[in-house]
Amino acid sequence: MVTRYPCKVKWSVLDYTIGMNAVIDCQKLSKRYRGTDFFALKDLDLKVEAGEVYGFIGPNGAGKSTAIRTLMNFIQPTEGTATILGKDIVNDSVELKRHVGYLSGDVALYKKTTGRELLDYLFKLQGATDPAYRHKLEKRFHADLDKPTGSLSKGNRQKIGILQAFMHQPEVLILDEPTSGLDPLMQEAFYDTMSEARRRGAALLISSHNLAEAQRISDRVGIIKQGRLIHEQAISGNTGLGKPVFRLVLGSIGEVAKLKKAPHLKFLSKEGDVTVLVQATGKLPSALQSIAGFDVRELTTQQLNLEDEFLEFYGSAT
Amino acid sequence: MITTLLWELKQRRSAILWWTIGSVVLSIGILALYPPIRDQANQFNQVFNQLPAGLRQLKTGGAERINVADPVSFLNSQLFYITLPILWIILAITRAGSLLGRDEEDQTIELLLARPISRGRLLLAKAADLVLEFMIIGGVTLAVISLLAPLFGLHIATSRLAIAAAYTAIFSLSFGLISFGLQAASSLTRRAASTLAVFVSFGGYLIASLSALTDWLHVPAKFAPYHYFAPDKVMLGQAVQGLNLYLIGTLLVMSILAYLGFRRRDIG
Repeated sequence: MVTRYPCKVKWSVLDYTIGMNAVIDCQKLSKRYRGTDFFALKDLDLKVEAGEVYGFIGPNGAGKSTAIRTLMNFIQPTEGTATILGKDIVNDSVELKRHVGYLSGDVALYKKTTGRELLDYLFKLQGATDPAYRHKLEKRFHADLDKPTGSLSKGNRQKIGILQAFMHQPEVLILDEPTSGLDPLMQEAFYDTMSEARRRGAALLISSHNLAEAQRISDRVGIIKQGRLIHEQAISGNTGLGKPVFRLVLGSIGEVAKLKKAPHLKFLSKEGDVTVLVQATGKLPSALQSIAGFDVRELTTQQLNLEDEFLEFYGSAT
Repeated sequence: MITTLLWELKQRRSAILWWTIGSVVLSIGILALYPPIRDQANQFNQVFNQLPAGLRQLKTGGAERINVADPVSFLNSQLFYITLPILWIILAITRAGSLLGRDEEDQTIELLLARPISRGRLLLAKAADLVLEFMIIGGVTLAVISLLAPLFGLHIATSRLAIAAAYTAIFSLSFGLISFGLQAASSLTRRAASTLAVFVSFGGYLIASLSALTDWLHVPAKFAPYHYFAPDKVMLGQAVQGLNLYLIGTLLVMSILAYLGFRRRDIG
């Protein structure tokens, strides 16, 4: 169940270090479509490092696909620049695609050809030489490769989409809604494949509007709204996500004032006169010990998650 | 580029087969008409030559008079000027429309452009596919015409027939190139680009043919490609500078337009 907070939860400094050479590096990347006044993407500053999974989240129309399609040079940036593996996304587009795997949001395949024929073709176009990993993936995903792709279900087409993105073991993976249409087992197969890529040092940019999934698979997430990256959040490590939040009903207003200064607790918000939300900042026993020093009439625990974070930025409209 | 070309041809193998069968059957049907028409040439010539100039030109282009007993005149009026071009122009425009247009509409173009293949090479591969399809269909049709023409009493040197068939194929192809170039260069939809190509081809055909009826069409007719298309002259070994100029001009303009436009435009 989604719990909403009336407060503004502000996260501490992100606990990641940007290296000197991010694999994906966008600087003020912007896109305004011809004939429109508004920017579908505005001043995107984004870095993804080797071995990192970056979750790009936002609802439909927020600008995720525009950002991804700009990075893939399907559409031209109006302003700003971006590099992938140090190569300019526009001028070095052909060269850098040797190292990129891409999955579009709505996987489009040639309907009359079989999955195998299509993968053979794309494998050759990619200039790939070692089919061993491709065959391994075909087995892992139980892909039905001998039927025309037009006769396949959405999930089976998605599998072929995933195969063509990963089969040449690229250093960079740009994936738009990769688990869309996959059943839970195949989602797990995808996560395994993604982890393999991360272990060998690939950088992954994954767009999603599945917040639980983004929280599970990403090292960092960026929330995009109306074409702007409005928030970045590290998922792993000592960040707020995953740390317990306590809803306390205290004995008096004076207790509330004292609690704001309590150790091992971060004051989040106040509901009414004596109800507060606090979050553990260190180890859980320390936080509980700190709470024990107050006149607590009622205590419930909650956990902040990405969904709360997301809703904070998007409001109830989402 | 070769990989893409072979892929396209493989995808189109049954369509190529059927278009080839269609062209061959149509050509054989027309060749087979020659003996009975030749035997009644006087009556046919009388009918044709009594037609108003504009209507006659719909069938023969610029030829002043028709003599259906003459193999060149017969092949010009019955096969190369309008019948075969109609079929091949439809093929060229529809095929050219789908080369990029269908890939963009279906978004399969992203599968290709996500690979290390430049947009220029992709265009070249697609255009080469169109040309190769025409070479296959036109080549087989020419071979059948060359083999069967003497059997029906149409004695024309094979080289002349080959040149006429080649010009007919290239002329038809030029309209496909117009459609292809417009789509590649701009974000015109398949339908819009095809409509423009149809207007230039068949609209031009009507204008060029009917210009003999009215003076005011003389000037517009000079802008119609069909005005310069004269298979009879080709078969007689006469120069067709206007046609050559149109074909080379179209090839150059559309190639440059397509390359420059497609290189940097938004896809999809």
